[in-house]
Amino acid sequence: MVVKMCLSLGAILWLAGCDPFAAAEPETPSGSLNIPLAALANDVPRIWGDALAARSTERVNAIASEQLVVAQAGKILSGSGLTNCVVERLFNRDSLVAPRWTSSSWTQEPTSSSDTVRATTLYSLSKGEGARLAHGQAIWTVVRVSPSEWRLWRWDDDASSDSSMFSFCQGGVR
Amino acid sequence: MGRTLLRHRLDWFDTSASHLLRVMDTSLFRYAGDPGSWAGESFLHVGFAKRSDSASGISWRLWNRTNGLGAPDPSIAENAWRQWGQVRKAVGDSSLAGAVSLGALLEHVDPGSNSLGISVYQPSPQGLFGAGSWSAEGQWAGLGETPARVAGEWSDLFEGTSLRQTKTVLMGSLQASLAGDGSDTARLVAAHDSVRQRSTYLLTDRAQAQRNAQVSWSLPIGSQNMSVMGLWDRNRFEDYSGRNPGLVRTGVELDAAIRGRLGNGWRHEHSFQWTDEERVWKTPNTGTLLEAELQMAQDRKDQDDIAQRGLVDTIGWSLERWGGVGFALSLAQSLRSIRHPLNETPTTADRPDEDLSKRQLGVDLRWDRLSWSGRSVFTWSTQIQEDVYLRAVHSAQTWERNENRLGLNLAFPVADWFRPNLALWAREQRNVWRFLPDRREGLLEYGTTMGGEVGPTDAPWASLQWTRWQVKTGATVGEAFAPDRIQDEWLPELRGFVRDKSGWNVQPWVKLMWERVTVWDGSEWILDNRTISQRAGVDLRWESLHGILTGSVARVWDHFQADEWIGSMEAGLAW
Repeated sequence: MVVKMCLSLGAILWLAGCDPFAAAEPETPSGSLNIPLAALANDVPRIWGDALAARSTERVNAIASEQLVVAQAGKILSGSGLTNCVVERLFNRDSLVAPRWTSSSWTQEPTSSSDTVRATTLYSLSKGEGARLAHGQAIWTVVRVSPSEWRLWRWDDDASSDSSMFSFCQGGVR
Repeated sequence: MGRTLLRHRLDWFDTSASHLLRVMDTSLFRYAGDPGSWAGESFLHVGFAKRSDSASGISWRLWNRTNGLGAPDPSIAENAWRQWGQVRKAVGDSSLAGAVSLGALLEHVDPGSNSLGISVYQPSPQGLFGAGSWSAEGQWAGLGETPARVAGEWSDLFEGTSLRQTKTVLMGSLQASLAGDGSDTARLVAAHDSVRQRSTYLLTDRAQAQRNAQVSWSLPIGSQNMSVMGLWDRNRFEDYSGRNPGLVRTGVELDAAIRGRLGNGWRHEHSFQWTDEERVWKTPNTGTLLEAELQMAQDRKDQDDIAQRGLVDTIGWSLERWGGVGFALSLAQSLRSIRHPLNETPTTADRPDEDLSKRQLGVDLRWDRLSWSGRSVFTWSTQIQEDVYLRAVHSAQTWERNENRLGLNLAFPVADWFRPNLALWAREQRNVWRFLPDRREGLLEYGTTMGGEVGPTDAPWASLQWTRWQVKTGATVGEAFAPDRIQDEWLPELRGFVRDKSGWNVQPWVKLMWERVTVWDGSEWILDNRTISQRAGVDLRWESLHGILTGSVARVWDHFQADEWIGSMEAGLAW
């Protein structure tokens, strides 16, 4: 009898078009605010940091070039490897504190191409006010992928650093 | 020397006719770094009780922590210890009991240049800190024939400026029959537990409180069984060290299920779950008044309301004939909603309002004769998952996933000495973004693992497993799939088993892992990455009535990392 009651209730809800497990309708996206893009080469570190703070995989993918490579001392991590590392280790929804990224300098090298910039940056990654997860000096190569959009194309960590982002993603900073 | 772990554990009991004496000693030390240094912890516990009254007694605990030993710069070395001695006296029996205890706690810290303080704003403490402690406990079980229990404990270290530890516990339970005839079970459980701890040794300064009440009732309705459960809980966490944000979490949960048999081997089960949770954050104040106000404003914006509901319907059929066959069809539906009611104008950096809706239909076939390992012979499932970001600043991330999975498992013995196994699986996934029509991603994975075990069931001679799978990812165009990345994996593994009558068990093994990633650069497939890792080693185990010895030695040849040796050994002796 209870089974019949449950089946009847389910049939009534289905016929009435009531779906208790359906998601709500989203608002129309508010244009460019959705995924911020780097209009200038030196916007890339800030946009990268904002993407981490927002724990947004979409925004990380939007600022990283599809061919992104992270390298240190001859070893290489692919862009998808970096994204997987960031998502698994920093974007945990149950984590109490959002990741915090700071880039304290941006020294550009002279270059002959107007679509490619190489710059030395000092960075630090932590969780909230807690201890640093990774920090060091890196050379970032950013490329212009459209007239008003720059993306991170290559990330070379300082070869002697034990605490680099490369080390963090390769199994933890020693 | 590379990274090295040294661990020991010693347990010693002396149980004479008049007393019980226990000594437990454990330690774990690590050597790491380049140049290296030692770090580790040790713990010693001694307990003594008279045989006539084992609930009363004395105990002494010693913790020790050290860091940076042997480092080239001796100033980073630190050492800390904590001792707690306690005398406890208990009276009463199983229906009414009480206990009091008196003790003393001492902590000593000798910090190094890298040592942290209790609080992020303060330097590391140095020196000796002490406090007295006392506790009182009570327990009552009664209410006639209805089992009930109320227990309380309160302990307090006499407060010092740097050392404090208090704990209160109160819990009770009640079990009865609402139907009155004992065919059902109704249960009420309530608990309160709070801890306030400030310790120089543990570098903590925090308070935690948990309160919860749960009521449940299960009863038979004809040949069916129904159960309902309601839960309320509230957790409060405050970290005065400034390292973690404070959190007050309040949740309610309602579960209901009905299950039973329908005759001719058919069965059914329907379970429903609903939860609602509120999380209120409090970021520690680390700066100026303006910064504190900004943090409070962000905490208000981050306040989460999380609601979740799920329904799982299963209908199945099984027979013991033909070696045991079975079939199950299940439909699982759920919705998880996250809202931030105090954030009316979210920005891209704020936590998003989100609805995650999932529906999964699955079929499961079982035939024990073909898969004696307990796995289903055939499984198929299809899932639709919709992840909706509601507010305009995030809604472009709204996406949907369609996934289909297939699995086949076969494992059956041939004669008495060969047990082959075969598993095949495939997974297809399509992701689309509602507001980004050009973005469509796909994934196709298929693989197999096969192998077997040779020799008698209780003493095999060798086992071989071969695993191979391929994952293709790329874009989808209509129904077509255009992969731009292919990942190939091979994982063969061979293990042998050698035993003798004196208790030795030796297992030589070899494992290989090959990975190859190729990507489409727009005109041709190019090799993006190749990883080859080969491992070979021997596991040893010796057992007798008086002891146990295990060990392992392995050699790793890695394509990217440095080749290395890995070894471990563990010995135990009982007398």
